[in-house]
Amino acid sequence: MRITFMEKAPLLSVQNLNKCYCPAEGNVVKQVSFDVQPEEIFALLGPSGCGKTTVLRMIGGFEPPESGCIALNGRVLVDDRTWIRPEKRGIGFVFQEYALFPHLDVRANVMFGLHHLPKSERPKRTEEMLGLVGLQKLAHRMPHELSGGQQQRVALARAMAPKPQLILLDEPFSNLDAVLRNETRDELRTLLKEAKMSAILVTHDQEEAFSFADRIGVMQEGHLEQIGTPEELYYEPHTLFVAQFLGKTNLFFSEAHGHVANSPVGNISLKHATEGGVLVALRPEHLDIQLVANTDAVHAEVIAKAFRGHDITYRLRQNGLEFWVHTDNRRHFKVGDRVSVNPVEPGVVLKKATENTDTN
Amino acid sequence: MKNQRHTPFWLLSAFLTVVMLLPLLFLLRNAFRSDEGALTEVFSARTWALFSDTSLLIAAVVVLVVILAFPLAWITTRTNMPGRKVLTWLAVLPLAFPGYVMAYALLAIGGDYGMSAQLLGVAVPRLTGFWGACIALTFTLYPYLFLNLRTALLGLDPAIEESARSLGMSVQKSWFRVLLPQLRPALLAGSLLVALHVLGDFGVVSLMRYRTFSFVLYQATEMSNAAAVALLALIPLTMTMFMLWLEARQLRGLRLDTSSRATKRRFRLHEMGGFKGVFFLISGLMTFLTVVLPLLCVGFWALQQNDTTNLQDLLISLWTSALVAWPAALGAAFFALLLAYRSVRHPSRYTRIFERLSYMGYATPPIVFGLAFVAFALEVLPFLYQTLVLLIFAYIFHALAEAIGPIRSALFQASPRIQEVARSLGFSGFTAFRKVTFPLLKRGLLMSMAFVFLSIMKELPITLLLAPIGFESLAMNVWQYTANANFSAAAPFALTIVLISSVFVGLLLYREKA
Repeated sequence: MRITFMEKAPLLSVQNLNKCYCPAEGNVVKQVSFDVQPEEIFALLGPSGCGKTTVLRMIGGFEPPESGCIALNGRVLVDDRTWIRPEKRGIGFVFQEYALFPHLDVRANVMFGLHHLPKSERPKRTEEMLGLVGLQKLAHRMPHELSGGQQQRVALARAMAPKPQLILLDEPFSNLDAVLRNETRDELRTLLKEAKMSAILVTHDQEEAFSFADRIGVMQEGHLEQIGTPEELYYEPHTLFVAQFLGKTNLFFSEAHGHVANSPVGNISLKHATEGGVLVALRPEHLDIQLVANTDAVHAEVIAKAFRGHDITYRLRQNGLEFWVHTDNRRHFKVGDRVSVNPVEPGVVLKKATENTDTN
Repeated sequence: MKNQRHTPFWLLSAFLTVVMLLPLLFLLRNAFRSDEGALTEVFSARTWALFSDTSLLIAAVVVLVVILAFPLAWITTRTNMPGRKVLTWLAVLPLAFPGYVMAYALLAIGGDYGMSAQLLGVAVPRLTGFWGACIALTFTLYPYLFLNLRTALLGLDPAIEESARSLGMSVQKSWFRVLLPQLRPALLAGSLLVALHVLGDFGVVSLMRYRTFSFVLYQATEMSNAAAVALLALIPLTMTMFMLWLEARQLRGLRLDTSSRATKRRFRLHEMGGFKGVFFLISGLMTFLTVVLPLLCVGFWALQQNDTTNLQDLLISLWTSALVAWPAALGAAFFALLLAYRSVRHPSRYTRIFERLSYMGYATPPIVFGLAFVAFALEVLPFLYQTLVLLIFAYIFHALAEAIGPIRSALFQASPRIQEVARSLGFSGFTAFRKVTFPLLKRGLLMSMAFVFLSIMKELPITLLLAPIGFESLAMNVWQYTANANFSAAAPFALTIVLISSVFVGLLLYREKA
C-alpha cells in the first residue's frame, strides 16, 4: 500500500543542486531537485557514476555543493550563505562498507551516537536497538568477528539509535548475498516504517529501488531524469533512458494520429494524444499473442523462448523488427510458431526520440 | 559555504616553512658570497671524487639492505616459519645500535689490541674505510626497510592476492605482478630512507675515516672560509632534493586503503618446508653479526673499564640526553599528526608541498642542517645560539619526517568513512577525530614517538654543532672516545645507548603485538 504525501510539507527539500569536483570535467551533479516527505522512503536510482552518491554525501554534509539549496524541516542546511556541519544536521548515514568503528564492540558502536541522552538512558536505548535488529547476543563481539549481514545491521542500528528524522543509505545491500539482501531489505523497510523515519536509498538496482522505495528519482549523468512512484516510472517513463533502465521494454517508431500510433506491430493506443513521428515504448507484458492458422495474415514469428518460472519471455520478429512478449506460464508457443500480436495497454510516447532502435 | 577551517593548518604551515627554509636560505646566501678562492676550492677534482665516493656508498648500502630486509619481512609475516616473533624481534634489534656504535664495535674487534686479539689471540685486520662504513651502515639501517615492508605486508588485503590466484596466476607470478607492485610504495620509501641516512651519516664515516660530504663538511667547519663550506654543503643538499623529487614522482596519487580495510581477513600463511633450515642458518648468522657480536664487543670493553669518574659522567650525559629527547619526541609527533592528517584527508598541492617540506629537515644531511641552523641563529637569534631551546627545535624538525611515516600509514588504514559516521552521529570534527580516528592512530603515534625518541637519544652531528657548551650527550662521548681509539672509555656510554634503545625497541614490538 503506497500513499502520496503531496499535501504535507516536505521533510527534506533539495533544490538546484550542482557539484563539480574538477572544473575540466564539468558538473557531476546538475540542477538536481527533489523533495522527501515525512515517513517516506525515497530512492535515487541510476547506473554507477551517475552522481547519486555525491547527492547523498552533499545531503549528509560530507561534500559542499557548488550551488543549490538543501533544507530539512524548513531549516536551511546549505545554500549560498549557509553551511551546517554534518554533526549539526541530525541525519543518519549508513555507508556501503558499513564503516563500523573497528576498535569498539557492537554495543559501543550502537551507543556511540547517544551522547545527547543522559548517561543512564543510553544502555536502555542501545539494548532496544540491538533487540530491534536481533543482535543482543552479539553485543560484545568486535566488528571483525561479524558476518556481512550482521555488520550491516550494526551499522543500521547505530544510525537509527539517535532517532534521526532522515537516514541516508548508500548502497547498503550491495555487500550482501542475494537471499540475505531480499530479507534484509524487507526487514529494514519495516523497521524504518515502524520508527516513522524517512530514508533516502542510493542504488543501481531497479528491483531493489522498486521493492524498497515509496518514490524513486532516476538519475543519469548527473541529471534527475524523472521522479515518481515505482508504478509511474514503470508504466509511464518519460525518456528512453528511464524506459530502458527500469526493465525490458519494446520501442517502436510510429506515426501518431491523436490517440493512435501506427507501429510496425499494428495500431497502439496512446494515453496522451500527439501527432507525427514518435518513439513508443510498450512493456513486453502489454502485448498479447495468438497462434494464427492463416499464413497469409500479418504475423510475427517466435524466434526464442525463455521459461522464467512465473512467466515466459518470447522473442519475436515481425517485418525485420525484433521485440519481446511476456506471457503467463501456461501459454506455450514453439520457436517457429506464427503468431498475431495485439497491444493490450496504451503505449507511452518517449520525450526524446532518438535513432536508437535497440530494444534492450 | 565553508566546510573546512583552514586556519590552523595554514598557521602551522607558515611556521614550518619559516623554521625549515630560513636556515637553509641563510646557508644559500652564505654560498653566494663565495669569492674566487672558495669557488676554485669547491669546483675541483677532489669534490668530484667526494661525490662519486658518497654515491658509491649509498648504492652499496641500499642494495645490501634490500637483499637483507625483503626476504626477512616476507618470511616473518607470510610464512609459518617457527619463531617468526623472535625473528621479528631480532631483525628490529639493530635499531638499538646507532651507526657510530656499530662502527665502534667493528673497529674495536680487529687490530693488534682489538677484542679478537685479546680474547682469541688472533689479530684480525681492522675493518675501516669503504667496507667498514658499508657494513656498519647496512647492519644498522636494514631494520628501517624491514619495518616499512612489514607494516605494508600486514596491511595488504588478502583478497587482492587471492584474486590474482583465481585469475590463474601462480604464487611466483603473483609475487611479481601483485605483491611487489603493492609493496612498491613501502619499498621505495624504505630505500629512500636508507639512502638519505647514508648520505647524511656522520658517525660511521667519520670513525671509519671514509670521506663523504658529511665528514668533509664537519672537518671544514674548523676552517675559516664560511662561503666555501656553504657552497660545498649545497651539493649534498641538491642530492637530497633530487631523491625527494624522485620519491614524490613515484608515490604521486597512491592511495592504498581498500574499502573493506576495517574488517579484512588474515592471510593464510605459506608453508616454509625445506627452506626452514637454510633460513635459520642465514638469520642466525645475521643475528650474530648485527646483534650478538657488537653487544659482545661493547660488553667486553666495558669490563675493561674501571674508572669511576667515567660512571659519573655517564649518569650526567644520560640525564642530559633524555632531557632533550622527550620534548623533541612529543613535539615531533604533534606536528606530524597535524601535517599528516591534513595531507591524507584533504590532499592538495599545498599539503604536498608542506609534507615535502617536513621531509626536508630529516632528509637534509644533519651536518648541513646543523650548519644552516648555526648560520641562521648567529645572525637572527643570537640569544638562542647554543641553547637547549634551539637544539630541541632543531631536533623536532630534524625528526618530523620520521614521526610522519607511521602516522600517515595509520591514517591511510583508518577509513575516512568512520569519521563521517561519527559526524553524522552528532560529533564535531575534532571530537569525531578524537573518538574514532585517534584510537586507530594510537599505534602509529606511539611508533612515531618511539622512533623520534630513539633517534634523538643517539643523534650525533646536530648535537655536535648546536649543543650548549658543556652539554655532553651519550653519543658525543662515544664518538669522542672512539675517535681517539679509547675503546674502553667509550664502552659504558655505548652500552647505555644500546640498553636504552633496546627498551624502546621492545616496547615498540610489544605494543605492535597487542
